[in-house]
Amino acid sequence: MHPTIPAAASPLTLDLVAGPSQQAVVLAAFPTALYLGRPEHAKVLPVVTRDALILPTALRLAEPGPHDWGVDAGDVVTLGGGLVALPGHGIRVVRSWRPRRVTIGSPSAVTVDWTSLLAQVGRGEGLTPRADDVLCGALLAARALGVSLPATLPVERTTSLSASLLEAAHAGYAVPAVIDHVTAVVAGSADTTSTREAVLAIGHTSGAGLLEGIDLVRNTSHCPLPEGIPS
Amino acid sequence: MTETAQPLHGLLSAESPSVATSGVQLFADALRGQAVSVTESDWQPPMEGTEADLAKVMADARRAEANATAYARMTASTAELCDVKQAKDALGLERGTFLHAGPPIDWERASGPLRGAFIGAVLFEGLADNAEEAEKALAAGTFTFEPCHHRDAVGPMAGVVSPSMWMYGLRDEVHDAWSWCSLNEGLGKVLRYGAYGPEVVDRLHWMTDVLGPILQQSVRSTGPFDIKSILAQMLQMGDEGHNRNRAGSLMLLRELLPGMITADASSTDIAEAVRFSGANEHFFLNLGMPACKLATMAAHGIPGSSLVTTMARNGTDFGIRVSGTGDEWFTGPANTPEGLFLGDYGPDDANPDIGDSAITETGGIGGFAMAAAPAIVKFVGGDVAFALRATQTMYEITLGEHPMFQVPILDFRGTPTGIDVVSVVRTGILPQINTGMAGRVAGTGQVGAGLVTPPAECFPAALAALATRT
Amino acid sequence: MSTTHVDLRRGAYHDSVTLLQVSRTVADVDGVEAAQVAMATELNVEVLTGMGFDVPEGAGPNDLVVAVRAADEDAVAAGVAAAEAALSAKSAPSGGFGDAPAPRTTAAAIRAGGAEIALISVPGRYATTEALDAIGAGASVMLFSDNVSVEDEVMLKDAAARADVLVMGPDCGTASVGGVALGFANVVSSGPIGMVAASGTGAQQLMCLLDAAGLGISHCLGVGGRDLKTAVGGRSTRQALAALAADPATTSIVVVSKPPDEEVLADLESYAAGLGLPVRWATLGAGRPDLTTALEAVLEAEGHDVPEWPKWVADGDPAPGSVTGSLRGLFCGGTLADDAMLLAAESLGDIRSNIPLRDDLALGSDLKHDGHVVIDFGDDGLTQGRAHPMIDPTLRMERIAAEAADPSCGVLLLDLVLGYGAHQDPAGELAEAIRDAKQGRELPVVVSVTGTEGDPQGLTRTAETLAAAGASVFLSNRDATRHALTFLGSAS
Repeated sequence: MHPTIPAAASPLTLDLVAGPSQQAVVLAAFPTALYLGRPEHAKVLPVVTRDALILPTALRLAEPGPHDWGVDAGDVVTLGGGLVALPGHGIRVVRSWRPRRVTIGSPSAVTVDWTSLLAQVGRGEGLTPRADDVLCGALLAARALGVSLPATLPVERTTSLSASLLEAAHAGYAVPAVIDHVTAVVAGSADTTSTREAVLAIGHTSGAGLLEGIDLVRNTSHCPLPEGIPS
Repeated sequence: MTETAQPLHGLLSAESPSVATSGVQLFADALRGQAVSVTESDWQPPMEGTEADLAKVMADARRAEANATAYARMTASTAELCDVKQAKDALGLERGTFLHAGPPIDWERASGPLRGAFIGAVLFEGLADNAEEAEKALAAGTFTFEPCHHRDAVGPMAGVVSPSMWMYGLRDEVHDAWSWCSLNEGLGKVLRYGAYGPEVVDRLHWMTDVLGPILQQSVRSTGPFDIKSILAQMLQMGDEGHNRNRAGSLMLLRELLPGMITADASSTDIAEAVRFSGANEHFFLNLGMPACKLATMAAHGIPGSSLVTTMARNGTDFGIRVSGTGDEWFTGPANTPEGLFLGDYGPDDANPDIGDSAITETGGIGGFAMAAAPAIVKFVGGDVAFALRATQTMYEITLGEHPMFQVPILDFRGTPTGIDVVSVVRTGILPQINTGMAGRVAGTGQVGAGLVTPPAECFPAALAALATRT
Repeated sequence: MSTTHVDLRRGAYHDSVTLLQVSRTVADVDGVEAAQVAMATELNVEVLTGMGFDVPEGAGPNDLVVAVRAADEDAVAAGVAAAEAALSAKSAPSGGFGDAPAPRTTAAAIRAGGAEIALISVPGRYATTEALDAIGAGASVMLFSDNVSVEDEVMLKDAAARADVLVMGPDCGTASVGGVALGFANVVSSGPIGMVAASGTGAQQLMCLLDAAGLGISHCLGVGGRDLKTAVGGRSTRQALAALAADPATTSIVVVSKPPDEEVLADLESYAAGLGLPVRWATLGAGRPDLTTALEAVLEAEGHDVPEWPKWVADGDPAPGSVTGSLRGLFCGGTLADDAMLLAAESLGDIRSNIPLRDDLALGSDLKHDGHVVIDFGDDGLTQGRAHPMIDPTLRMERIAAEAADPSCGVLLLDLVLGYGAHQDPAGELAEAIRDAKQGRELPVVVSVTGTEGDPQGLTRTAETLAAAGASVFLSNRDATRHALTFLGSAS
């Protein structure tokens, strides 16, 4: 019997690990994160150590990395019944954690033309192409400002991991640094330097992409006249 | 994390709260079983009988800010070598008055090395013709003793200072303060270790007649010299500033040499002064100490602060003073250091702990910076892992990490600085002091070097005094 | 002739629960007749002396005593070796070359782990210091420790309010923050009900009933058993209510408490009225609903059906009303004891207790009386120097045996609390004690089990083990109490 390590599941991906037994492919294995993909597009389960970037969809371990997952990209593992079965050990879901979410702003008359942003999906390098980061930032800012969102996203055009994060952002979920920054921006905080810097520190270029998207929506929706003054 | 308007610092919206535990291990295990990040403290009961005083002092609303202020002043203080003067001019020391290390003491209770140093100083000042006569006069109470600390001065080992001795004068520009320390005599049979033979007294005369004036000219003509910056650099060169001062001594010499060489003195005298200074690898100790004294002076006297501003020993008693309790000393019997011995000397030859040099640990270097000086373990016993552990353990009893004094091997973490009486009492962790060992018999000199801690009782006593002031 | 070994280790502190486990390990070694590994507190020295060990002079509460008696020298040595091994396994890992030592204070641990919450369970006389330390480090505190003075409690709560953190406790047995269970806590589903608890087992009972009804909680914030007393004035309750009211995951709040002081309750009720979400009260007291009934009202107000609460009724017990003798309630949970006592007093009249409903009903120090008796084994007075009965059931087990031998005992009412922190297999030991108690006499035994199916021990598994020993088992403490009363012929 292999040892099992307790983990906390995200409600966004609980079904992937709690459901019936099924196979998943290792998309990438890093010292602090393991990405497992199901054949269905946009179904990705990140498994992360305490010191990793904690994606809203992640299955979290309590201890910091490096963690020896015992698998490499391309290997196949079994998910299901609350267990991620790796060759040397299992990771068992014992509770759910509560990813933070951008609060929906009161409905705004401002509209954003999503066409060009959606047309870019999948463009750029890496697991999360830059255009997708920009769209994520825009979706989160739009939600916070009460701007209406596109009904669907063309997620089939991008990587599975990026698709899962786009869907999370569409529902208002992101890593805490991004939520904090969006919240601060929407609240009209005078100084957002520290939250901007925290976002910039995400990934190699992801942070910059996210900021670009947030700024784009904020500038579009910026109302030159204070509320209550007839125009 | 940004500050939000959510109550309890956003506790209820924490994505996955992490927990620190003290006490029953079962609860930490239960949390780990839930995949919660847990940090367990290795909690131990505080020193016996201190619960009520701890609660009182920790509940003192002034304490956090008082400690922050004391700590900020301590680390902000500067230390520049600005002058060299005789004690009579620098401190107004009267003929017949002798300063000594540690808390106040009389002849009756003075240990061998302190008595030896007093005898040597009396001979040096020409107040007696021979050692017997000096001892008789000292025992008769003819002379006045006073702690160096009472005159903003510090002295290594016996720390005996008489009016004719030369003193380095260091200035803290930020807090407009001066601190003083005698010149280092080198190693072996020296006054500060309690030796008082003719060679000791002759050396003191030479230092007074030749070395002092040359150093004064050097400092006055080419100074001031930034001692704090040398301290910061030497920690990155394998010194810890108490028992190892090699790099610091060389850097100091580099500053002093131009002015010494061009001093108005005979070339023979200059050559001897330079040779003497360069041959002494503890040359810098007498500058590091007053630099630390300036830092702790700046932190002293802040009501509510539990920061230790003095640790000093006179060979009989170990005494501490605390920022928030003013000039009161809290003393206990000095421990005898453990370590390595010179030649044939052994533990039985060692005197209990002596000297004001624990001011270095009080200021965040010395034993507290042992990780910066792994080579030190060859002189004081222990191994390199011990050195690393010693420094890291001191973080448990200090208020902060020094912004300038850094330890490369700990990823340039600042040295543990600002001993908190409350933390010492709570954890039972005593400050780690590196020190030299004097022979217990007057006249012996140095017998070894090693490690020592203060007697535990100083700290609950200081805590109780803080509690009465809340 | 057996051999005895006693040694004293100065300044080697271990917590009482750990030492309990170590003592058990040593006692299990072949040939060992008696073993006790404990801090030399006054109580433990008494226990050791009672066991026939000579404790060295001058032993103090910070010194560890290792005492082993065994058949021969070899067995003693094996016992001592087992103690060493168990102790070193429990010690904090020392880390590799040059690693930083483990943090030694609560604040150091908070800083090292970036913790939002500090769980403090050190002996009561040191607890104030650690709690102040945690508050100073900006963390909210779950203060499990008991025997903290009410003055210190008020001081801590004022300091916490200034720092905008929450002090849950002292003597706080349970809490749940963001799905993380602290202390004694059951595994319950998450949902929209926020809970404020001035009662540990009371909160556990409500959470388990909610869980059985298919409803979950957002958070359960403990406030300590005295928070709704005049001296403390609801300080933590107010903070907890405000925090839950601002929490988007919480849509209504239940406050559960041991009998509160009226003016504090009135103040809190008017404070709660302005929070903008429903706040409901399960505050015990004469004339007020019991825990189960209060919870049923919450379910109805939430538009949720009240289910039939799980029960396992024993057959073969005497007919209703046929038992002479008195009610003996032996509880680990203080609020469960209160709940049962309030309910039973309606039909039985006076009940003697160590946590009496009226001062004149207080039991003497021997805790004996011929009439109706309810004892809270988790009360401060019975936990000084020993672990909580949910961890160390020894005292209650002894009392169960004593009641079985006492003809004035007519029915035994017990509680059993499952979940994190509680004994890993409490049912096995208790079932054995129940079997022994029923041996040779007619004695109905009723157990109120507070637990969920998700708990490590499992509600059904536990109940079935107890039922197999002849006990009737109820999830609802009210239903358990009512069932016990039926035997005495006074419930009608």
